[in-house]
Amino acid sequence: MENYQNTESVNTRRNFLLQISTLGTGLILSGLIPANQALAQLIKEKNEIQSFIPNVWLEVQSDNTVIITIGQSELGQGTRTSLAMAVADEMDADWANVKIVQGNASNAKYGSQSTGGSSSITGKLTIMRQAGATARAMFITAAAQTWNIAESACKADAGYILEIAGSRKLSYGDLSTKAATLPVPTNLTLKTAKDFKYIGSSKPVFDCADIVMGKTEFGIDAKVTGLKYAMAAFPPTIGASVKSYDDTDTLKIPGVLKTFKAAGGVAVVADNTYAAMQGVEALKISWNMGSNTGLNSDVIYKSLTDKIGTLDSLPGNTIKTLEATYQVPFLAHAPMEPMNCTVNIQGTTCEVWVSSQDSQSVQATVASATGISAANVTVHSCLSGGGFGRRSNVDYANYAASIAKQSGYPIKFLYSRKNDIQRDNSNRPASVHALKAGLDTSGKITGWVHRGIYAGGGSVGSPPYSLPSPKNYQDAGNTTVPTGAWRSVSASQCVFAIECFIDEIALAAAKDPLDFRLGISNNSRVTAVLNELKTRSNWTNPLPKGSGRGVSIFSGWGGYCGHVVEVTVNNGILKVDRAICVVDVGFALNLFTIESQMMGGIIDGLSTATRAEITIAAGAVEQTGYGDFQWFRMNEAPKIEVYIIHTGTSPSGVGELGFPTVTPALCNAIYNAIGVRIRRLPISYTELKSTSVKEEINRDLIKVNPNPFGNEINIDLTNVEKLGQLECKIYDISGNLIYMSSFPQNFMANNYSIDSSNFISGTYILRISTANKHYTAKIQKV
Amino acid sequence: MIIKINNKDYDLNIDPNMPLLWVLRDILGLTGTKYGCGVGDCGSCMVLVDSVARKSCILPVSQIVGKSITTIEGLSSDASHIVQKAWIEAGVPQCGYCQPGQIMSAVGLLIAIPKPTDDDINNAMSANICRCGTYSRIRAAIHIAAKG
Ligand code: FES
Ligand code: FES
Repeated sequence: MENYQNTESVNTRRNFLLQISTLGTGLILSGLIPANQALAQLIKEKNEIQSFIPNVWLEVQSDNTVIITIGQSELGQGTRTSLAMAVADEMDADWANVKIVQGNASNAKYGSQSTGGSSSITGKLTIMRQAGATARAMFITAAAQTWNIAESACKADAGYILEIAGSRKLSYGDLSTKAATLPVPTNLTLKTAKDFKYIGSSKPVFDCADIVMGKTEFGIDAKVTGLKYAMAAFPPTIGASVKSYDDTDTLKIPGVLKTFKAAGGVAVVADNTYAAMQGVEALKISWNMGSNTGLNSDVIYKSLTDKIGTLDSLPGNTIKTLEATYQVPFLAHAPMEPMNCTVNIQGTTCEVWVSSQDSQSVQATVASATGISAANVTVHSCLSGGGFGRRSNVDYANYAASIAKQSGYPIKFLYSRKNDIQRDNSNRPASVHALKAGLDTSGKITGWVHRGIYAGGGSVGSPPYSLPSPKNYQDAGNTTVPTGAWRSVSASQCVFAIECFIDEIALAAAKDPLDFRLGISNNSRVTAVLNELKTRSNWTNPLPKGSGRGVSIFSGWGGYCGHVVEVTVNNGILKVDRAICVVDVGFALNLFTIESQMMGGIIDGLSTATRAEITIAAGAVEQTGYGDFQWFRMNEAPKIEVYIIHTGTSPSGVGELGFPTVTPALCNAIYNAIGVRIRRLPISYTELKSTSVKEEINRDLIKVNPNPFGNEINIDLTNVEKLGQLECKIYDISGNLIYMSSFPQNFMANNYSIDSSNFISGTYILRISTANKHYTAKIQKV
Repeated sequence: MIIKINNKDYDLNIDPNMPLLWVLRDILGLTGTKYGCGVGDCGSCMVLVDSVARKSCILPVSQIVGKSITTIEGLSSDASHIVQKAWIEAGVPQCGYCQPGQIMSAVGLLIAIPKPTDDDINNAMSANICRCGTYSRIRAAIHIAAKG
């Protein structure tokens, strides 16, 4: 697709821009490059197939193939499929003939390709619809001229122009030659909802078949002749740098080629990834440890709480004051495909294959790292194995480019999973939120104060309720840990605090939490989402003892989203039974991908509420992989229901919208089940004690080596009281007891082993009970 | 060392300790099998070893000599394997990165238990992580495949 650019006519482009801009839509217009007959000829000579190219987004070939180019990155959010549906609908294409391709990085052609903040559909929908409508109008003109009848006597349908009063029809392929000779229309009429065929329908990602065959090329799968593989030893603390290093052992490893100072540490280039990994392990590096070796999570949280200060006082009619402080941890993104980038420098040009949320930023970064002009850097934006905000930062491109330049080889640079988690340079910042509110004699909220202190950038917004002059403040504490955008940014933390606090207020006012929210809703769409949640969840039907239901609602990115979560808590073991999502997306483009995003939001919300957490010790991230930065798996995933409200207004962002309310709905459900108010994430098992009289001890006190474990669980009991009859129980994540044993009487040793060869892989809860205490730990079988 | 991948024999002169994952990806160019963690945590790298799903990132290539390996590329060349068809019908993938591993785990499950219950699915599929959260659709797809 890239060679088209060279043949475009500047004059016609200017005309087209002029024409489009009279629509007054305020769109980014840089991508609208018109049809060009000379180009059509060129394509014909090359491929025997003639192409009509009304703009950069669209090409119609004489064999009826419709090629739609999407500039935004695909990360699993379905952007390519959904935007192509909009083009195909407006041009009345036959979906079976549509091929979707990814546009390489080019600001001149596509405008911004930065893909984040749920902006792809909201930002590009109108221009993509216009791109399709342009083609439809030109095909109608072409047919009308061919038949010598009025344009109004023709209509478009599924890849054909039909004569309304007759039986003649011509396919888009038939018309493509003629259409390519026509001026681009000045007036575009977009369809109204009653004529939509694909917009508002439900389509899975278009490349599903390729994905299930393993054919799809992610960035990590790039294949280049002569490719070498690079990995790095990154600095062991935030701010460390290399003093010197010895690569003698590294260079002895078969397949290792070279080492360099790169990526803030030392990079190893090898014939294959395994050799590069071993090479990194064998490096002997002497580090300047930098100034952050005293940094740990406690220091950071203290810096946050120290900034809370005194909260504003409440109005005089307040008879009841509530105050609470909530705490939210750092999070890495940990997308399934670790950060990577492939760079092939050839003289004064360079090709890049990358999974990124910002291909133009990759282009600029590689240009500056290699000294090659950006125009000569071709960036193939590959399918990304998840992003969640991480891939907006393009550190991997910088490192890959500099290693390619230093080594002289085409390079695939890969972060190990451990690197990916420890070197996430845009962690969600940890934060604390101090909230204060009052109630008057009639149970109405008198005042609202929220101070959010972030270990990085962050803001505090108001919930979609009528609150008397809410006072929101934000500030930053210790910002040493690199932070940035994480799915739903500040809403991922604020909404947890706000929506749990609203529950606390509702209960203080002796009101049902859902009805209380309905009573203070400031917007009919909020009310509609809450009412739908109430119905779908059978909100008023009581649940058994030990089970509970919680609700939460949020407004942002132009949409509204709420959840009801149902849980059961049994002896401190939490099980999520059901998650119901109701989302008002305004204008729904693709129901299927909206549902997908909501499902993903639920799994993210539950995983981060219950276990995933980045902690800092001695200036470094402590977590090393999915074993200690844990995500929900199949056995934990609850029954999910998603209900989409389509109000027909403009589209909301979707990727972020489904996350914020999951965690507070969960925590409110826990309160409803067992009366424990969660104010700190991730939820600790010790907080979930219910009927037990024994003291619940923090999971840190018992350790399993190694964890994850294999066929034997070795429990380190050094910190466990040896009092009474010690018992060991192991539960699966659903709370089912799957192993139980009593220790020998008067057991005093510090180690105890259990045969786990017939345990299946997954997460378990280990519980050691003594005379006075229960000790709990999450453990993992591989 | 001769290894058999997707019914094809390869004679390789490589480090016998190299995990099968990197042999597939870097030496043979079979990149459908994915790297997610390299330490057995995530299941992205799942392949069938004589019909049993195994994590190729922790499987030294020397251990598969004399065994028959099936990767995602070996299921079919046209997405016609019953599990692939079920995956398409349920529209499972979001980013798709974990899906080759999920599919190989599901194929292994259905070989061992042709009509799995939800508990069987929980047991067999919990070695795999899907960071995009497609679990409901994976479960639906396995039930579709089991119906045949
Ligand atoms: S890559 Fe093998 S289990 Fe994660
Ligand atoms: S579909 Fe993205 S990780 Fe599973």
